Amino acid sequence: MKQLFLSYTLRALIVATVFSFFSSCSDDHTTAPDATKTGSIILEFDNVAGDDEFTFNKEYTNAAGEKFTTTILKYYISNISLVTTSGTVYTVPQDISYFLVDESVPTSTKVKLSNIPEGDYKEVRYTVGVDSVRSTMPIEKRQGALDMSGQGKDMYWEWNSGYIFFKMEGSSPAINEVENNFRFHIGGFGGYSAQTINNIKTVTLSMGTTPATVRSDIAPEVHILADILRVFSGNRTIELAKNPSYMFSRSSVDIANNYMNMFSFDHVHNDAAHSH
Amino acid sequence: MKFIRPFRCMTAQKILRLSFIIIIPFALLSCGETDTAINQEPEKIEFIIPSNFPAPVYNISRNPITTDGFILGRTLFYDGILSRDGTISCGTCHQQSAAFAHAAHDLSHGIDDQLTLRNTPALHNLAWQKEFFWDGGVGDLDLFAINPIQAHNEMDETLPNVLNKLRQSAKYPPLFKKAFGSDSITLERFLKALSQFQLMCISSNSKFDKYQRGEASLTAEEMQGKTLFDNKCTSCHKGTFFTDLSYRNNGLTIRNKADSGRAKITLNSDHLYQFKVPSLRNITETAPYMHDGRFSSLEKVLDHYDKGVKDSPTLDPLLRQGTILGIPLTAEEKRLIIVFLATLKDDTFLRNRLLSQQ
Ligand code: HEC
Ligand code: HEC
Repeated sequence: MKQLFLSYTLRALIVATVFSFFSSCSDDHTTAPDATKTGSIILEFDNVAGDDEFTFNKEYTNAAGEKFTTTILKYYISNISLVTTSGTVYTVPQDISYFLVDESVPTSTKVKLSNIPEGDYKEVRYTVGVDSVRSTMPIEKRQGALDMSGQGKDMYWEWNSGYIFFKMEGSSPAINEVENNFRFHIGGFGGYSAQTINNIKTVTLSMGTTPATVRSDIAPEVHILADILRVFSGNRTIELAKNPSYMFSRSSVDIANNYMNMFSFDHVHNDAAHSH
Repeated sequence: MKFIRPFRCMTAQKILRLSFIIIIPFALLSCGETDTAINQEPEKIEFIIPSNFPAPVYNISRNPITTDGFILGRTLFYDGILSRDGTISCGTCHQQSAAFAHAAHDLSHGIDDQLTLRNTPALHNLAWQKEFFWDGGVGDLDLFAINPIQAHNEMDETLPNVLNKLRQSAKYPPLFKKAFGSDSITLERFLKALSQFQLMCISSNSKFDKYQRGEASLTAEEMQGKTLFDNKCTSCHKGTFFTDLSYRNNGLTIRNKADSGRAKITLNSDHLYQFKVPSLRNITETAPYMHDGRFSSLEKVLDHYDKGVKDSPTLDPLLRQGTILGIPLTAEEKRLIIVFLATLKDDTFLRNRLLSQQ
């Protein structure tokens, strides 16, 4: 849940205090994992703008010094794997490993994974976008987040069949056009039969020293920050005044190379199951 | 045995070769004879590979074609409910009498009279085609229909809306139930039904097909035309479908710079202004020609190959022999090639009432 009325720092302070209480609590009492049992885990994708909470229509400044506001922000997270402290990799079954994180749908920012073997997980890996195999699969294999008549309805290029992996739209006074809107529609899985751009990005996040202890009665919540200011910088500084529109084009690769680095691990909350 | 009588009109062998096995109520097939016997069996649709065709590209086992699935698909294909204001159906632009191309339109008009970017191509033998659009942007027939439905200049509707309109109609839930066993209307079922209809648009009974199967012979002129065609055109317009399904630049002058063809999809400048080599089946019925419908007749197409081919960095090498551009043709050669192309017209397909709006 976003606590929009608290300043981010204050909120972080509270979260940190609460969290340290819980984590020390679970450190002390967590039983050893039982491989025959399963539990669940939640990956929370918290969109932020630098040190600020991210909200639509609020003004932020990008690395090029341009002010901008945002009206649409959504991206696919897929092919999730979890790695235990001993290095065992658990991969979420592919058919149920596609999620659309949509800032306008609060529940979508918490990706809940069930039937995870009990374990102490120290690392999470995922794809930002939709892998090339799924991108060429028949219609019956495009369910849930991938259903173009449902969750995926605005995240698909029908003229060049493929999913839009990352979509961000807004406006900026720096754009010197009648409509000062910017549009980032980033996709490209490599092409059906001829090679083309590939913007599939994989992300690996280490959870540091406190693992996520999945137990039948503990459903850890892994808090991941997605800093949208990083969409504009890192690999290449994006100047909206120069180009406000990145869609299916070679230059879209610059945006993807930027946003793949926007994710960071913040903390894990080893809380009892059913509390979410 | 009720099935013996109708076969009087055609040999049993020929019936089997038809791409449709049609078991029509008895009276209809009795060739005008008065027969009071009424067979209650409905028309039955089956996907049958014509003997002169290779194995299809489309995996039919994923979407087995049934009579009810086909009927649902046909109903959808001809229904304006797929468009925002109910005025435009797939059949508006894809007309059976023109082999499902758009007769006499270089570009087509979609909703609010807006023009399409390109010429409406014929739809036939789609089960044998691996990519769709003039630029090959879609690699799966099932996914194709999403484009015209959502394109602002064609049907300007959204998928969730179309499905909701179908769910709320009196007509469609029972049709989905018949076709798929329950009245749940999902994107998958909707698209698969549309595909079932389009997959059955098989054109395999032209004079040329019959010649290939040894059922008919070509006239001397048609044979002369065929020899010329084989020598000059089959490097691109190859095989049973008269296309190697590749993307090429055949030397048209560039009229719309924004339409970069295959390069739009691959973002590769080597592919600038390349378009899919089109099938030439039913070609006498699908004028105007080329991706933008610029030529109104086959004579003009042949004049283009003879004299109009324009050089450019991506011009297909086959159309540049030393200093000669294009394919030099005499007036008589052009005439004979057109005589041959006319043998690709398939009246059975163009008039098959099973494919028409009911
Ligand atoms: C407004 C006219 C229009 C409507 C309506 C329309 N189409 Fe088309 N269709 C076209 C045009 C134009 C093209 C070629 C587009 C291109 O290549 O850019 C095309 C191409 C196609 C193709 C690809 C053929 C090939 O050989 O590549 C298929 C399949 C198709 N249409 C099916 C449909 C279906 C199914 C519907 C209804 C859901 C439909 N069309 C509605 C105009 C239309
Ligand atoms: C180098 C390959 C190549 C050769 C050789 C070639 N064509 Fe084509 N043909 C094409 C391509 C590519 C197109 C589509 C071009 C476009 O619309 O941009 C086409 C289009 C056509 C069309 C229009 C079809 C339609 O549905 O609009 C006709 C008719 C045609 N060719 C006939 C012929 C004939 C007859 C010959 C031999 C004299 C021939 N072609 C030789 C590549 C070729």
